[in-house]
Amino acid sequence: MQKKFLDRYRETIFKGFASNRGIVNNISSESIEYLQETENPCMETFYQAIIDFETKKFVDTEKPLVGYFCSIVPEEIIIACSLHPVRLCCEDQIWTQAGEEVSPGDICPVVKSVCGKFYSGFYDKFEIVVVPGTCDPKTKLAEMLSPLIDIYFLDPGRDADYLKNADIWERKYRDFFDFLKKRFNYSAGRKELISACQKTNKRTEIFRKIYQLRTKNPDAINSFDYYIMIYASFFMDIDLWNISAEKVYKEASAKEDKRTCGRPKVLLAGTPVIFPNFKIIDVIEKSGLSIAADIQCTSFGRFYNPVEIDEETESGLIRALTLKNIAGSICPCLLNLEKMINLIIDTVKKYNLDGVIYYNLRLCQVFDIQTAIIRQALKQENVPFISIKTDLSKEDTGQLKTRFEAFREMLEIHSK
Amino acid sequence: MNKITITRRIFQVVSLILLVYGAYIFKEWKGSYETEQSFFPSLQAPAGKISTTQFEKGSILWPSGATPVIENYPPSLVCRFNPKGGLFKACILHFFSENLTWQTQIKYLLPYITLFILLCFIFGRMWCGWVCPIGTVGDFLTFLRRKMNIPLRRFPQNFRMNLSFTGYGIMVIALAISTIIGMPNFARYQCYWFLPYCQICPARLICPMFGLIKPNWKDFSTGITTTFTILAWIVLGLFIAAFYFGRRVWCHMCPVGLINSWFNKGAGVELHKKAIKCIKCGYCADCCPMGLTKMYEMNKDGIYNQNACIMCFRCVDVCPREDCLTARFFGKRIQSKDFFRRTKDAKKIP
Ligand code: SF4
Ligand code: SF4
Repeated sequence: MQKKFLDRYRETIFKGFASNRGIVNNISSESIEYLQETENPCMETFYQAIIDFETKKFVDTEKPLVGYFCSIVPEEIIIACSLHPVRLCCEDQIWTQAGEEVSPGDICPVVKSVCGKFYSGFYDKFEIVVVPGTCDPKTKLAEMLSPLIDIYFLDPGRDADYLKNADIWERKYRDFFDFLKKRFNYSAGRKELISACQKTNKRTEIFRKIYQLRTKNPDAINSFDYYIMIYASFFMDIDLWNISAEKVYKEASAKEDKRTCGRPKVLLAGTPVIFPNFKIIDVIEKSGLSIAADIQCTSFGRFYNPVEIDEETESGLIRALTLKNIAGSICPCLLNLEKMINLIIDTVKKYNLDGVIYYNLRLCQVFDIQTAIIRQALKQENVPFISIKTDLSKEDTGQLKTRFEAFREMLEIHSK
Repeated sequence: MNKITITRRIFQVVSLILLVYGAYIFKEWKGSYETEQSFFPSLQAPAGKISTTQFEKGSILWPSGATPVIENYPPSLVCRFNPKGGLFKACILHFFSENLTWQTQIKYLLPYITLFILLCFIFGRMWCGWVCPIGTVGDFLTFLRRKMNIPLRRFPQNFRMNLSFTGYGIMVIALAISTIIGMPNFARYQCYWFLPYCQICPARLICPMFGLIKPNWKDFSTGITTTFTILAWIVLGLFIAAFYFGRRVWCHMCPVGLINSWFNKGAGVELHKKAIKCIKCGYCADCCPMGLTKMYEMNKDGIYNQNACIMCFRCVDVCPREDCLTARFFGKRIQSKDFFRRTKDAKKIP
C-alpha cells in the first residue's frame, strides 16, 4: 500500500517552502576538495559519477529512479523490478542549512540535508521514495516529504529477532515487492529476483576483497577513495560499480606489497560516513592513524553479507532478503547492541587492529546512547577505545586532531 | 555455490544407487543367503520362516515365506523390501522387530549391534542426511517443490516435538507387538503381525519400485491386512505431503532416525559455533531442513549436537560469517576455509 500523507495540504505546504527552490545546483566547494586527487586512476569513474550526481545530472539511465534510505530497504527488490535504486542518505552542510527552513535545528543532520535537497527542488526526478521506519527522525521524514513526493513507508519493527519476526518481515517485503510491480506495471518473479541477488552478491564478493585488502594495508586504497566508492554505490548502476570496483581492486592489489602502512590501524565504528562529510576521515588520517576497517551501515553493514539463497522459490528469496537486510543488519535502531559489540571485538582481533574509534554524529541519538556500554565491553577485552562526538561544521577540527594524536600515542604505547 | 551441500547431494545419490542396486553392481555378492553367510558365518537362519504379505506374490525372488530372510545388518541399512539391494539391506528397526520375533540369540546379533553403535558414535545421525534413500527420495520431492515455486510450509516447534513423541510411540508399539508375537502362545498371529512397522512404512511401497518390482499395493484378504494396507496408503500420503511441503519434517517421526539420534550428542562428527562471530542473521535457522533454531539461539561457543540434527551441514554452508560455524570430525575442522565459495554464483542451488 502506498502511503499518501498530508494530501489535503499538499499545495499549501509546497508553496510555503518555496524560497529555497532553485538554489545550489552546483557542487559545493567542500565536496570538490575531496574529489581532486587520487592515486588510483581507476577511481575516475567514481569521481565522475559523484560529480554528475551532485550537479543534478543524477545517473544516466532509462529506468525510473526510486529513492530509499537505510540498508534495511531491499535494493534487490528494487533492482528486480527493473528500477534504479538511489540511496538518498546525505550529510552535507550546505543542504543542512537549506533544510533548516523546514525542519528544526536540533534534529538529525541527515534528515535536515534530505529535507533541504527535496524542498529546494534538487531531488525532483524520483518516482517514489521508500522510507523505512527505523528511527524516529526517519519515520517523521516520511511525513515531511509526503507533500512533495510519493512515499512508501516500510516499517521493519525494532526487534531484529529472527524467531519472532521473520514471517512479519517476509510479508512486509512481499507487500513492497507487489506494490512496486503494480505501481510500475512490471511483472517480476523469481528469475528477476535471482538475477538481482546475483548482482548484489557479486558486489559483496568484490567488497569483501577490498575490505580484506584494506585491513592488511589501508594505504592500498586510501580511506577517501574507499568512502568515495561507497558513496558512489548509492546511486551508480550496480553492474558498472562492480566492474569499476573490480578494476580498482586489481590495480590496488597489484602494487600492494610496495607500500606498507606504518601507522596504527584503527576500526571506525559508529555513525556512517557519507560524502561530503569526510571531516572525520580527514582528521584521523592527518593525526597519523589509518582507518583499516569499518563496520558502518553504509559500507560494511550493506555489503559484507551476501544473500544466501536457500530456497529459490519466490517466498524463499524474499525471506533470504529479509534475513540479509533486517536480521543480519547492524543498525543500532534495532536491538543490535550485543551483535555490534561482538562484531567490533571480532573485527579487531581478526585483523589485528590497534584500536577502535567510535564516531558519533551529533544529534544521532541511537549511536550516541550505546557508547558507554560499548566502552565498558571493550575495556574488558582490553581494546583501546575512543569515542568522539562532532557535527558537520569544521570548527572543532583542531580539537579533534589533538585528541586523535593523544590516542595515537596511547596506541603506540599499548602495542609495545 | 554451496560446497558441502553439493558434496552431500552427490553422496546421497551414490548411496541410493549402492543401496538399491548394490547387488547388481557387486555381482559376486549376489545378496544370496549363501554368500552372505560366507561373509558373516554367525548368521543362522531360524527354522520355519514366517509369511508376510508385503510382496506381490510370485513377483520376487523370495516368494513370501519361502526363503530365510535373515540378512546382514550394517547399521540402519536400507529397506528389506528393496529386492535388489542384496548385501546392502535391512534397516535397524526391521532388524530389531524381526529378531525380537524370532527370538534370535543375542550372541548372533552382537556383531551387528556393536557395528551399529560404533558407527553411530562416529557419525551420529549423519545417516539421515547423507545416506538414507528414503530421505533422498524426500529431498527430491522438496527439490520438485522448489522448482515449482511453491512456498515452503514451516511447522511450529511444538508440532515437531509432538511428531517425535508420536514416532517413539509407534516404535514402542511396533517393538512390543514384535516381542509378543514371538512368544510361543501368540505364534499364530505371526503371519499377520510380523514386522508391524514395516507394514505401514512408506519404504515398503517405495523401495521395491527402485528394483522395478511392483510393491504389494493392496491386500484385502483379511481384516488385518486391509487395515495395514489402508494405513500404509495414509502414511505414504503423509510422507509425500510432508517432504513435498515441509522439507524434512517427516524425519522427526521416523523411528530409525530416532534411534540414531540417541547417539548425536557426543558423536565424532560435530558442529561447532563460535558465538562472537555470529551476527544473528537467522540464515542457519531458516535453512535447516529439520527446522531447528537452536543454532541461531546459541550464545556461547561450543559444540552443537542436537538430537534432531541430521548433520546435513546446510547451516554451515549458508552462514555468511566465515569461521562462525564449522563442521568438525573429532575436533578437526573438515570444511573448506574459502568463504568466497558462496558468493560466486547465487543461482546454482543444489
Ligand atoms: S547463519 Fe551464522 S551468523 Fe547467521 S545466525 Fe546463524 S550462526 Fe549466526
Ligand atoms: S542444524 Fe544444521 S546440520 Fe543440523 S539439520 Fe539443521 S541445517 Fe542440518
